Amino acid sequence: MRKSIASLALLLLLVAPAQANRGGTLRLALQDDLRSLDPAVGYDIPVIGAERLLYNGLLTYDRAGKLVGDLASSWKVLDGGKRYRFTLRKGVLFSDGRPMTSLDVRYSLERLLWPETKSQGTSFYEGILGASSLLSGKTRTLRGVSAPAPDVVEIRLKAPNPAFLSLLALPFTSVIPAGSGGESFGRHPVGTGPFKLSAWTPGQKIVWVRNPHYFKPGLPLLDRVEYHLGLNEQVECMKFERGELDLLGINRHIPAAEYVRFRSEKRWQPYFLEGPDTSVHYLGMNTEMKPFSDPRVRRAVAMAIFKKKIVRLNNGRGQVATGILPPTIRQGNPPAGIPFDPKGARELLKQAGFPQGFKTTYWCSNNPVTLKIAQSIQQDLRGIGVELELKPMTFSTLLSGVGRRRNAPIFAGNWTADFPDPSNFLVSLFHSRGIQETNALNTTFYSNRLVDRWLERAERTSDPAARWDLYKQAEQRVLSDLPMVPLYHPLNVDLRQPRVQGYSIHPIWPIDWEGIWIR
Amino acid sequence: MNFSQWTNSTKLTSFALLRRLLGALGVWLGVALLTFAMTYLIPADPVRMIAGAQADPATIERIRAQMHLGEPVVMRFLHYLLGILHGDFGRSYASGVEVLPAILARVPATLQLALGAMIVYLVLGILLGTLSGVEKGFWGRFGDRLGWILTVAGVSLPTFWLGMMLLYGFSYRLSWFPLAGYGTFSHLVLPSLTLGLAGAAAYNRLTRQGLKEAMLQDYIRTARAKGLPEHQVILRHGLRNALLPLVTLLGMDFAALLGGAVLTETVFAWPGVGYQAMQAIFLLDVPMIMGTVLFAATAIVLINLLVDLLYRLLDPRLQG
Repeated sequence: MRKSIASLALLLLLVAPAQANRGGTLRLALQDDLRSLDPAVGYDIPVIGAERLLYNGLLTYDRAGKLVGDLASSWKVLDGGKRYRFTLRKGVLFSDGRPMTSLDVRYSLERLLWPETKSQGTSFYEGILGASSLLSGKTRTLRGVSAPAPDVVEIRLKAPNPAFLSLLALPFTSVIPAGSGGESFGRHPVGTGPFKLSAWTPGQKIVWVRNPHYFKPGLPLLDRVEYHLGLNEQVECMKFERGELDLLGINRHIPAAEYVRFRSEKRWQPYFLEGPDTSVHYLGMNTEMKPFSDPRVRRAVAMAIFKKKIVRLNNGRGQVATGILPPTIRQGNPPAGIPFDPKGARELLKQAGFPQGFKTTYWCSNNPVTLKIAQSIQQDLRGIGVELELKPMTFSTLLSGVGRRRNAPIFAGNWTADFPDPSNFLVSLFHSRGIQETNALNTTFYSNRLVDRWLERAERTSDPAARWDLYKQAEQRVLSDLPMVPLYHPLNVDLRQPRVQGYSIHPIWPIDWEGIWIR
Repeated sequence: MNFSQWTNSTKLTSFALLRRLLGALGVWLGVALLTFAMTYLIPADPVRMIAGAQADPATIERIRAQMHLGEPVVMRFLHYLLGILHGDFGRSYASGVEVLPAILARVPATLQLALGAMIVYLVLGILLGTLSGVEKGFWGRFGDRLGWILTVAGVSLPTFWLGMMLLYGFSYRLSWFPLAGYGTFSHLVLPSLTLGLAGAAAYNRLTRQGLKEAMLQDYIRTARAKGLPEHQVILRHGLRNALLPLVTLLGMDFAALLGGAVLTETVFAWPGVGYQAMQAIFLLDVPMIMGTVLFAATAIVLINLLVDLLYRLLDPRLQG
């Protein structure tokens, strides 16, 4: 009898879902030191992940990717979208014990726009009333932001912007204590987030410990998070395999060879996690440069590229792109895309006056995956007589090169959503206002008045359905003009240790710390 | 030496020292100018690295103005030099931290690795070089063969590959040493070996050659004629003279190592100056690149100067 009770208890223990434990340390690797933990300054994937440990903004995204309140408990959109009124959560403290109020929110927004902050996020907030005066250094206070009560913040815009709430979820607007900042803030940050910085030894280790003042009761579950710095990809994988690291694939993709190896080992199978990435990798063509100024040539290139092979080259970690917008942003079905048709492509080239094809230079970054894909495209285009000379370079050189007018004829590009809204892709990449002599955002130098008009109308439209229709129209038109060939939407694949529980790939943030616990 | 001879010799030494100091300053300025010119000529924009891939042109221009990158290049260089004279190496574009303290914070790690590598150079290089230089008996032949293998391997094996192999074998497979990192003696062993093996090859060849030449000199014959045991002849008279050229090489290598061993530090996650320099290069963080290069140049110039003086002390023929 006693034996059967014991067996039953054991069975129950195995079947019942595990109870979340409080405590434990989560260890991750990072190649380089974080640039800065100042939320107005740091803006790359590892930094954004780390900022999620330290800060909260007014709004955030839940695990379904829905915009929800973070420090704001509720909000109202007033005056036809020109005024926003936020009510703040009560009893929120910074990690140093100071109470967080609406004055801190106002200060954080003002500081973001001060010239000496050198924030790269200023352009997102130029629509706030009085922002231009701050950006030019004429004033220090932001006319469009007021704090009528300790728990109320009001933001006034020059014109309605349906995407404005998404902008308030960007890490740039994370709330820091009023009066803080300066050059050293990036190394000595204070926020309201679930953790606080405990130690940062440059080049070695960054340690975060639980913020005892965190406003969500019982959270976070972990005691401590450690970033082990300076580890190259191979050493990171070896350390993970030996159980010295807990998660793989967070701050950078698992390298191809290691990915194949982990995938082939049975013991790791249950611990892989997959989730879509809000980005698109594409082949861009400069529409101002011959021969790509001819739409027939651009279509021929699009028809000659075998996209499935490109996804295979990335170990299947992606989805063939038929449209520009990633599946995480798209509403409804994706566009049909252009079928792989080398014969048709050759015919089109003949019509465009290139029966023998032509030679050109393909600009791409020297990242190994990008290079592999570039070689695949080179092979595909050779099939229609187009000879690509690959020009690999550092990422910053590529950015400068493709952003210069009439400089890079054809190139490898990618765009990751700053915020999950079609405007972030379509306006940035295809509106003619993005065309500049240098540092252009519109790197294909595509200009279409109709597309411009649709995009501008969408920016003023608050009805979500009507807005989406305008973006859909604009995307379809761009896809028919083909200044770029969408190649694939990457897939995030992470690997966890069996002891790591409660972890899932967040649709927007690099990592969501709150629910993670150690068994 | 009478008094006037002594003062003349001191004057000559001071003059030589002054000449060396002026030369060192020239080298240092040349390095500063070259590094600055190179960072300026690279066809990439440091502002793009800071602003990110998706920043709009207005933001890029605003940051450029805030970083004073719109000023003429000559003015920027002069401002930079003026800053250095005041001990201000500027702030990192990427992280905003002050350059000089950031470099100095990394010096202890680099110094440890440099010393570790030096020990490997000397122990392996001189030991095997002496054995193969003597070339008598079993140990002589053994040392010669081993020295030859070490030389070929040290020169041929890429540091990055060797480091990864040592990590894979001794850390990942055998668990004898930690898998990269910094902090304890056991963390130091594999990076020192990786870095030291390549250098030891040169020391081995140099010691072997030097010892072979020294052993043919008259003073060796004299020492033997005095009835000294062979090991004393080799160690006291042969090796002592053979090692003289090694002082210069050791000084130069040590100075170069202080500038950081980029590949070794990268493989072993060693938080030294070299690794920081590599990060700065990838980010086009001009103040940090300049700071690191100037730090390395200063170390090389100063240590070379020191070696020169030491050499004069060790070899009286060079004095005056």
